[in-house]
Amino acid sequence: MSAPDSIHLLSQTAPVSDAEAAEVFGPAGKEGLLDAITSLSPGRSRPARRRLRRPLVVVLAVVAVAAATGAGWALTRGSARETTAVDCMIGGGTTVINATSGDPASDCAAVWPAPVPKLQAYDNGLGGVSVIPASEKAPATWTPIASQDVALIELQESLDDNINGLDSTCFDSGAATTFAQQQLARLGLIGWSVQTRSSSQTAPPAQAGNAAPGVSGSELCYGGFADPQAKTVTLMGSPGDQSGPASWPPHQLADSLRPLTQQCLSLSAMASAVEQRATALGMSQTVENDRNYALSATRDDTMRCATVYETVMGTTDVVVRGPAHASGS
Amino acid sequence: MTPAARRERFEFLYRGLYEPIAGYVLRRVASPEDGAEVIAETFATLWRRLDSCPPDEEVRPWLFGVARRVLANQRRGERRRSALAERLTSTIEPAAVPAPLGDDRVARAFSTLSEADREVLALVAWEGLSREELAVALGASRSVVRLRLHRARRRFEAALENETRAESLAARARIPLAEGGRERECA
Repeated sequence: MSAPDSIHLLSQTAPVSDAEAAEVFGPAGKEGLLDAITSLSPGRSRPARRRLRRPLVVVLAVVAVAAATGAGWALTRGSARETTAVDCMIGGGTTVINATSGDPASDCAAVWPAPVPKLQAYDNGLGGVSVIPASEKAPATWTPIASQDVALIELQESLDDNINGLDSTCFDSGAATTFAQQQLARLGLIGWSVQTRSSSQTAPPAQAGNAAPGVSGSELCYGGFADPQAKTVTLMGSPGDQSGPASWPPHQLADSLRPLTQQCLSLSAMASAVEQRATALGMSQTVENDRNYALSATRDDTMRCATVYETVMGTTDVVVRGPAHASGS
Repeated sequence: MTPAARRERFEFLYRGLYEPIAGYVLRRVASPEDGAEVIAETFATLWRRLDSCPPDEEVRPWLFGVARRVLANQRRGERRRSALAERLTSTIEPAAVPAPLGDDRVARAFSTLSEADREVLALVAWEGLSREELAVALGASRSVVRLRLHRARRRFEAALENETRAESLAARARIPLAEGGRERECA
């Protein structure tokens, strides 16, 4: 199936059209809301939202047709352990979050409304990981699962990273390939390959190895994604404009976090440093606006120093992983 | 901006964007009551931030981004039944609430994707956003958006193939035998 076909098919399954949606509230609803809003004082401040225990949350967009399935995962029909998302089945609904710690129950506990019950993670038999309260009976086809592959989670984070990864600047095909190979080696992912795809119709692919990161202009800049089933990192090129304007808040945050990656810090020191730098840039975890960001911290005492990744896709997510005590300084 | 000019600009934007925002929101919530709250808060945000919001031609994708964040807050359980939402809720016309449409196979495949994949695909397929508008709505650069869209499409197509295969197997299991009129059973 070609890509345009899939988008076309999806466009035909919209649960409701714009006009139908407006009709739900009728003309009275539309005009009444307009009157009510314009009677508000323009400067009325909005109450700050509750600070989340771990604000990194990617919440599933529940469309009516999807709500019944209770399924959500990053890659379909593969090993559940080799996925990078978790389906937290909160209150009968389904909330998909990015996996961060490798312990799906723990990841869900961080976003579960209090009081958090004891949670159990399952391979849902469809290639994904679902988490429900341990007191609830799981479907017969589900089997308990304890962990997800942290190396795979970190591989995708490093590819998407705005601090030092492929989203940080313009990588040509050679530099991107080298970067991906370095990440595979660093994370101990054996038997993986890196393939480069130039999908642009407008510009020729860059020559492998002929430019350092930072090249811009009409050349292709490469991003990447990991496919654990094929054990492949696919690199795709597109023309320039990889890292956004210098004034873009996530870009500013990435610039300010970059020096931290040269230091050996503990988890708490790294998390504090991230919060300090974000605050200095006017970014907040509690005020919902375009300077909003979400920080998650995962303790891993097998590491010598903490790592930090920043990914941006709708939200600015900063993931810190590291030991209670740094041992490399 | 004078109060009159402010109100005039807001009304111009509101009238042009009410339908797309109502559609965006109701395609993503379980009930019109939940939708009313998100729509009301989204336009209240536009009213409050009118002086700092993007130029008119970029307001639509920007407002989708606002609505997405308001939706996320609502799903995190931060429900505040505001007076604005109550006002909109009181006008709900039950007969006008449409039933979900479409191809079950596509809906099932779509439901297997992560939120990030679903949102980028839905913004293109349902909201009709261009790549440039997608970048504004998601707060990411165009090339990052392009890569994510490619990745999401790839996963969606894989999920569609799985659903098609499963449907085909199920159909084969139900093919009646030519003789005897009994359905063939699959091993």
